[in-house]
Amino acid sequence: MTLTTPSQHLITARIRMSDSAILAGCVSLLYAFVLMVWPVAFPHLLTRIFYAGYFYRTLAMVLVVANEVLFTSIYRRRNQKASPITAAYIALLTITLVFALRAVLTIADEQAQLAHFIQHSSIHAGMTAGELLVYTHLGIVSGIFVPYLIVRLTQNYVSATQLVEAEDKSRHATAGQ
Amino acid sequence: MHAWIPNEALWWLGLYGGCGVLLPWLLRWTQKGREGLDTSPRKLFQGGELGLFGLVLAIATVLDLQRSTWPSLLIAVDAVVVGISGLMAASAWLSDYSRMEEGLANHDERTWMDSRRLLFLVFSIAFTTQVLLTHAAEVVRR
Repeated sequence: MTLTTPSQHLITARIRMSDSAILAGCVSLLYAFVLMVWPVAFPHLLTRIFYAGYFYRTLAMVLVVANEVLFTSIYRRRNQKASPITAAYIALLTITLVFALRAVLTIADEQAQLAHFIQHSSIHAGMTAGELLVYTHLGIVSGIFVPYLIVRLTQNYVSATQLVEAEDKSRHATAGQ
Repeated sequence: MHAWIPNEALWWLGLYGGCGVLLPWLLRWTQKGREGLDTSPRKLFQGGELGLFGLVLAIATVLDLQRSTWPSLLIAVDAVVVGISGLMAASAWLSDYSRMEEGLANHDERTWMDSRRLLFLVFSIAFTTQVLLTHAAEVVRR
């Protein structure tokens, strides 16, 4: 923890796109490894969690915790000030992504049921365990790197707007003289 | 465990890794005799070229996804995620190239770090996608 005096404020750091890449990559490789070691038990566990109704809550909680820990570690490593607004923004984006995944999974489930109904004229359970595996992997990986990507784009937008405003101000000041 | 490691994926990623990273480095290494020539990978890829290789890897993964028997929605979502990661990787090279073109100061250390990390991300997603391409079909069959 860095001590600051009133005259020496810490600079609010900028998020870089590659900040979350290592964590997202490691989680992706870990997912592949778990799948190779427990090829039957892992999909069954996921399916059980999904049909028990805990899937989205668990996913959102794990991703928010992972992203907040990553966020804190980035700022600590750079010895810079962590903005609570950015932390809240990352949590909000992560939860929004889980909602987006939920919408995609619902569409996929309905699509699978409809396809089965058209082919066999009977109702099917919907999505397969294999599809759920792929969607979970995509949800976990994008849940880590997409919030940081959006934060970076937002920071770029804000700094560009501030630059334009500063230029406008200086132009007006010059015109006033 | 053996049956679950997709050999095609390992060959495929090995081929791209060989052509994209190992071959340029070996070509540079053969010129080691020249005075003052730094043959380290950091010097060779300091302009963010690894990020460009990440984009190539992402495109190849998307093409592989298109050939799979997965539902169209699943292919589309997977292609978007892989594509975004590939574009992120390529942006490391692009930002460095733009800086160079505009005559601004280069951040070689930062570009090298970004491109390396983002290539790792693309590689991990591509590898897991290849595992899933084999695995998802097996789960359906069971």
